[in-house]
Amino acid sequence: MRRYVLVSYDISDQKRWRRVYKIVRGYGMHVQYSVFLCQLTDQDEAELKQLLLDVIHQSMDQVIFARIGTVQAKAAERNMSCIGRDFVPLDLKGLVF
Amino acid sequence: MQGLFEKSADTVEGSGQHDRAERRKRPSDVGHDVWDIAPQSLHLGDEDLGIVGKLDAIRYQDDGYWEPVEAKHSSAPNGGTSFRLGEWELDGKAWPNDQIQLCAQGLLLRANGFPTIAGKLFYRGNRQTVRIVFSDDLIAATVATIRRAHELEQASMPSPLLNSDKCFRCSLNGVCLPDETIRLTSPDGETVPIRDIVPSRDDLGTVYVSEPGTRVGKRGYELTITSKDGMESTVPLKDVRHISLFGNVQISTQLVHDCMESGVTISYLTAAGRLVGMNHNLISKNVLVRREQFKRFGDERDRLTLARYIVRAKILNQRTLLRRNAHGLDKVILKDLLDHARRSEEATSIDSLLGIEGIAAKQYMQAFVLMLKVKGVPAGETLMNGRNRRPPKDPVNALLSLGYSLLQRDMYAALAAVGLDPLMGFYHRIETGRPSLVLDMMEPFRAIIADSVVVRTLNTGEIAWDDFYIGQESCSLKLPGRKRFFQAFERRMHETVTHPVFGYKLSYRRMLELEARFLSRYLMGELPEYRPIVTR
Ligand code: SF4
Repeated sequence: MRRYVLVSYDISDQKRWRRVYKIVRGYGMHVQYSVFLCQLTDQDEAELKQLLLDVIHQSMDQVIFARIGTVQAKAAERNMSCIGRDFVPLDLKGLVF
Repeated sequence: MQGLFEKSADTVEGSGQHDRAERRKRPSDVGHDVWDIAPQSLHLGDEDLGIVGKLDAIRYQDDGYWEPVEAKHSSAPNGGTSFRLGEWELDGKAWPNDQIQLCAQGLLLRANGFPTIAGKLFYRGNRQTVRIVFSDDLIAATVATIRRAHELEQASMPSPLLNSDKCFRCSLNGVCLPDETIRLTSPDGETVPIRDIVPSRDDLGTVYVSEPGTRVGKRGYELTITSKDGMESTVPLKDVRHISLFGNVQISTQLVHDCMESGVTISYLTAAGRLVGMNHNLISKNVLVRREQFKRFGDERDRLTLARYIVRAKILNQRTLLRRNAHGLDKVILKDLLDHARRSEEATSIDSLLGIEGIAAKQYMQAFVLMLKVKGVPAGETLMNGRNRRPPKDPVNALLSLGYSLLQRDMYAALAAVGLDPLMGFYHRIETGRPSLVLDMMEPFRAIIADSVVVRTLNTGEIAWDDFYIGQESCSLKLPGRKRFFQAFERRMHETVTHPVFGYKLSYRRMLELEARFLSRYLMGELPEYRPIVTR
């Protein structure tokens, strides 16, 4: 089951910050500074955590994973609201370019 | 299982720990005056043993011996009594399979000129390090295990476990299909419950690139799509299962490599949507399936049996689509189609099947317009005039041809993924350049997937009359309309239906994959028959 996970991080070192940014980009949509909305299966989440564990500093950095609900149930649309600029989650059924 | 390995959250965590152990190890432990710079890890192989292995860590002992070191997730046994394994007696301080793995590493070291008499196992569970001496018994047990593994690799796939709880956490269950297989092989199949373990696998995205001059590449873990005017879109690579390139678009070699490694297929189609070729990785292990395929398709009876079921399913699925969508349909047609389906089950040759299929197809195509409610057709123009192709002469046929191309691409990918040869079929005649197995296997799905998308896009007005170039002798879809059609096709592929036999929900795309797996299981003799899906 694919879920929406809001991934946000606080990294105290510029170099590590860039590496974390690059990794998380490959797993989801950049919504704000240091905040991503990802669609992750259990496996993806485990993979992403493994990748990040290799980069972050155990006691100085922090990455938060907030599970919002399943993609099938359109949880992001239901459980998240935003004001100002709109955001549209990635639709895997519409990757037409 | 036959070299199949599917990742899951558990296996990822396991190998993550491996990788980190590898990187954190002290270099001095590995490269004792053999290498100037210690290798990250040691990859060794030996022809006589017939194995290759990756050694995470090797320690050089002062007495001149080398010791492989292997870390384990679990806890060490209490070490009281020794283990008996067949005729051999193994140390009680470590689990037998761990000892055997360690000893295999030892044998590899020896074969490559590093003297070794023992190795160490580190059990993370209870933080215990156990030193294991490579005794004669252990070596004998290891050699026997390696031999057994070689035998298994050549043997056919083992039958799935009956009702085992292991299946829930098993990363192979989408390939192994334990409950489905049991249902299909047991005589009182209907009574065996199917547990809801298959849909855990998600359906990923198919990327369509059709804008001329677009470049497709990768950056980090992202797929990048750069249009001619420099606009860039990105998609996480982990979400992609297939990339389709239409006409004049470029793809980077780096991305192709990555796709092949992770099992993503790539298809090349002309701008108009004809399938030209496919990229998929080497599927060497499944050459066994291919061998059976060639054998069984050489047998007239096997071919006829399969072909009958295919034609029957095709006709019944066409009938279902008409029954659900056609307005003012003469009931006689539904009855006729049912008759054709029955006759196809009793056909005595491929030729007579072709005849039955042809008659049914003609009736179906004539009734096809009854499913359409299209507004805005200019006077004097035809929306559809039977089935015509190469080139299609009216809008409906243009859409049908495009839909069949996309379906062909998906069926091809599903068949190639299970190791079948897409060019060697049982019903369609074998011709150079013709993927006859793909054509065979997609017959039952033409109506329920492609035709249904065509009916829907036209009836909802998603694709309208002015989306087409109407020429004297041909008709084709303009680019914006084509993109909308791709989207509609993808929506259909992601839509879920209840499987008529197994009772759980699955997407149409996953259905194609299941069909391919069942065909290969049938060819390998693991299932008594293969019958394509018939929707209700
Ligand atoms: S799904 Fe079940 S039967 Fe199949 S390999 Fe896994 S544990 Fe074994």
